[in-house]
Amino acid sequence: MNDSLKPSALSDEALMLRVRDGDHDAFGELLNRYERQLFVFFLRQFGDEEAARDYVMDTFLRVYRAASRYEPKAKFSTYIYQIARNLAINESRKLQFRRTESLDEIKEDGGVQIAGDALDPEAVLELRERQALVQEALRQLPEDQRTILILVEYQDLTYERVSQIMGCSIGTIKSRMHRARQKIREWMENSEL
Amino acid sequence: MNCKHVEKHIADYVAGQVDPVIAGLIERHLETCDSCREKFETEKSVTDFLRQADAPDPSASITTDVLQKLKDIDLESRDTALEYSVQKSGSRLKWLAVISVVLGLIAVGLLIIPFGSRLNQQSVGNQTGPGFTWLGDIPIDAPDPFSLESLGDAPAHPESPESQDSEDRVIHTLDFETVPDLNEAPDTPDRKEREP
Repeated sequence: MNDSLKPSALSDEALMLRVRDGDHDAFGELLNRYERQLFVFFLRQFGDEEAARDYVMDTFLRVYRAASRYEPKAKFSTYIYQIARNLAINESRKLQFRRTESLDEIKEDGGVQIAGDALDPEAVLELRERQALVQEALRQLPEDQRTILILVEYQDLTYERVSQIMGCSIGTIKSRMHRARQKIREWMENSEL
Repeated sequence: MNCKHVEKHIADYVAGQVDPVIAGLIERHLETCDSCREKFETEKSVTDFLRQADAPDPSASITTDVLQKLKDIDLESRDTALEYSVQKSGSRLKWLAVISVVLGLIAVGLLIIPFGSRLNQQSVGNQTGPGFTWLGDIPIDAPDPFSLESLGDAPAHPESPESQDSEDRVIHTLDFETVPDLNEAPDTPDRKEREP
């Protein structure tokens, strides 16, 4: 029955089942739906636009490779965020030694690159600085707290969905979220923000 | 809802994680409680800080890049599959060649072994009686120069005259010494011719 429907009318899970059967259009639709969300997820994790692009591509390629084994047991969004999170954990381990990078270095590098350079140069610079500050604050957090904060604040996911992605209880998610916010607040006070 | 309840839920409220009914109660309380409002402002400052700058859009479509990469991977995998099949058929040909050579050697061996054993039998036979020898083509009925008979020490043969004297034996011995002449088999006197 679903075969006659356009990919845009299908649920994520139905699209993924089509991908499993070799439907490239269905995969294109899934890419469109999650491209931006995953980009923001990785951008907030690592603060590097080019790296975030690469990680998004890597995540999608992993999803595609695993499509033949896909079973719609859980929501597709949970599935793809779990893949993205595992990738982020692996990359965090690799990049751990770079966590000592100072805010000044981030500013020198430009930190997060702002797309759309048609903006006023001063506005772009100010935006970059603000982005760099946010990245610096997020760097203060351990991986699990940072991931929860990103999923809640930037992906607008519920605690319940985050608990499914992280594989722990809602209570654990809440307490980690509160600790993460507490640390950010302390960092802001110390940075006189 | 009192201050204790609001304090418990305020962070979740700011994060947009509370039930709409509870959210309504919190909002009503905040309108009248300065202390809770202050806590709310503190929590909200964290969210405002985190959301102060929207994340930029990716500079180019990641979807396009991913789909292109998938096409490349498909092509690569097809090439690899083709290469693999060529390699596989090449190795098959190699194996066929090796097997052919081995089978050929076995066949040649099977042909040679019976022939060799026949030759061997013939050569063994030459040691006891007339026949072909490695000395050359000697007629089967030619006298065997190595036989005791030809040396004259043989026991009396029906066809061999007992009257043969020692000179005859010497002659035979001489004949033996002139073995190369045996190659001229047709000229060699037949035993019957030597018989008186």
